[in-house]
Amino acid sequence: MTTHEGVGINVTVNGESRDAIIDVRETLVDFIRVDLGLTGTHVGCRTGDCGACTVTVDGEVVKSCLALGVSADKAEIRTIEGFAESSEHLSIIQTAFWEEFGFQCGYCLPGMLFCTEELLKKNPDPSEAEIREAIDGNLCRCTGYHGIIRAVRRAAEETSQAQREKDELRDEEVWARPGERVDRALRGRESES
Amino acid sequence: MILDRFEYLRPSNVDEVVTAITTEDEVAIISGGTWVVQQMGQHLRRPKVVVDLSAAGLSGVSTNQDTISIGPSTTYTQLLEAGDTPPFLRKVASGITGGIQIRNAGTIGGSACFAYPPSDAPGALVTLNATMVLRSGDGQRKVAATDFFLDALTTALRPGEFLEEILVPIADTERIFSYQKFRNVTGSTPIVTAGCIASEDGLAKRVVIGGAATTPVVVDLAGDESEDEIADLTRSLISHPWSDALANANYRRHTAGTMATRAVRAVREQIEGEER
Ligand SMILES: Cc1cc2nc3c(=O)[nH]c(=O)nc-3n(C[C@H](O)[C@H](O)[C@H](O)COP(=O)(O)OP(=O)(O)OC[C@H]3O[C@@H](n4cnc5c(N)ncnc54)[C@H](O)[C@@H]3O)c2cc1C
Ligand code: FES
Ligand code: FES
Repeated sequence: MTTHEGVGINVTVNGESRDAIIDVRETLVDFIRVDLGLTGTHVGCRTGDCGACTVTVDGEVVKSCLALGVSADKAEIRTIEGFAESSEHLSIIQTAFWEEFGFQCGYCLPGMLFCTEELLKKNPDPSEAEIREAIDGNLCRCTGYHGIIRAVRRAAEETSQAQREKDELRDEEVWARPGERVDRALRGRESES
Repeated sequence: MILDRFEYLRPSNVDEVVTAITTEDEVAIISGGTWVVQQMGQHLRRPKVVVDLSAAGLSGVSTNQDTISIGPSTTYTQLLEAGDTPPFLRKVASGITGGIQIRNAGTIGGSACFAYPPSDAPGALVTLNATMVLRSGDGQRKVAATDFFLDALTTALRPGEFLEEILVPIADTERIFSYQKFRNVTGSTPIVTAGCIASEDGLAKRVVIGGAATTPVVVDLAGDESEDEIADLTRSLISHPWSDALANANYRRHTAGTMATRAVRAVREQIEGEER
């Protein structure tokens, strides 16, 4: 059970198995950003207050600045890079954030997105108070939160809608939709500029 | 990156934990890590050995006859989800701030062992009449929660000893209770907490104040005091006040009186509601 610095670990990151030699002094967020090069996980405070470093470890939403990287040996990690269902299509939650102006710079998105996902898993129809409670471990310096709350509401509605349609229709048809909407939104923004 | 070098150990059972922490070197135990990892990052804590409890099987809530056993590494989320969690403790866990992420990582035992005066756990465990089971190479010893918290950031734990289990008597967990917490904004650290569980004869006879003093303060009552008497008595019992950047000692002492009356009022109202 003894390990010194420079130990070999194996983690599954966004579905991919990765071997790494890690200095035991590295926090999980540094391991993810520096060693794995996944810089979508941000650092805002290193005191557990801002939520920008949020990832999931074995399915649990956590702040990765408060854990040692070596503790994640053999764990399954999801970062914001693995949030979308595929690299072409944003997820329903991401699309809702896009459409409702739920972000500006995007620094806070790791915490906002993972907490929204966790909320909707447990509560598909959250009230505004429940949404505020679910995101309250995350600080956003840009939006003033109103857009975020609208985005979570919209994500809830669209997740339920997708579920209803999924129950009725064939799977592929439904799951293509949010991505198509993003493509449209992206095209719209390009043509504006 | 943490500056100082250390040896990292992840024991897989309680005996291995004992072996790992039995050393002359400075040890830091990691339960959820939400305090200790940031302290190491800020060089406030420079252990030579870091012992990670995550694989040691120290989480979970279970009932054995007349006691509820709580593993020290049980997270707030696990407390909220476990069927055997005392309702009072579930209420406490639901109010922990820092978001889903902190409730998923922070543990009841980590908070108890850190003994930070404004934290929820110290006062909550004293309210529940909990017993702390401490384990070392010399075996086990049991310490009442009231005797576990010795001073701010100081517990009865000796070098080479760790918190193995928290025991809560069931009898206390089934009665009417109230947990009142004052904080500056919803998301901030508690300033003062007040916990009250009705006595066996159905009265509000014991209030436990957290955050106002360096350790939880027990306010024993006859049960028929007026609210002013409760507030005055509570304030008079804060002999070692806690003071920090969020609130000074006078403010905390005053607030303690107010929160004690609120806790008693809430219990009395529920009792009256039941009698009606
Ligand atoms: C943003 C944020 C918000 C927070 N909000 C709250 C709040 O609302 N209320 C509140 O009370 N707290 C709050 N906290 C404080 C804290 O994170 C929690 O109280 C948490 O429960 C601490 O537990 P842990 O397991 O993470 O502790 P760790 O960091 O793992 O451990 C804390 C200390 O206890 C020691 N230790 C741990 N387990 C044992 C053991 N079994 N035996 C001996 N020693 C042990 C460690 O060595 C360390 O010194 C907050 C923290 C953050 C970052
Ligand atoms: S960097 Fe981890 S919570 Fe801010
Ligand atoms: S979008 Fe910039 S911090 Fe939230």
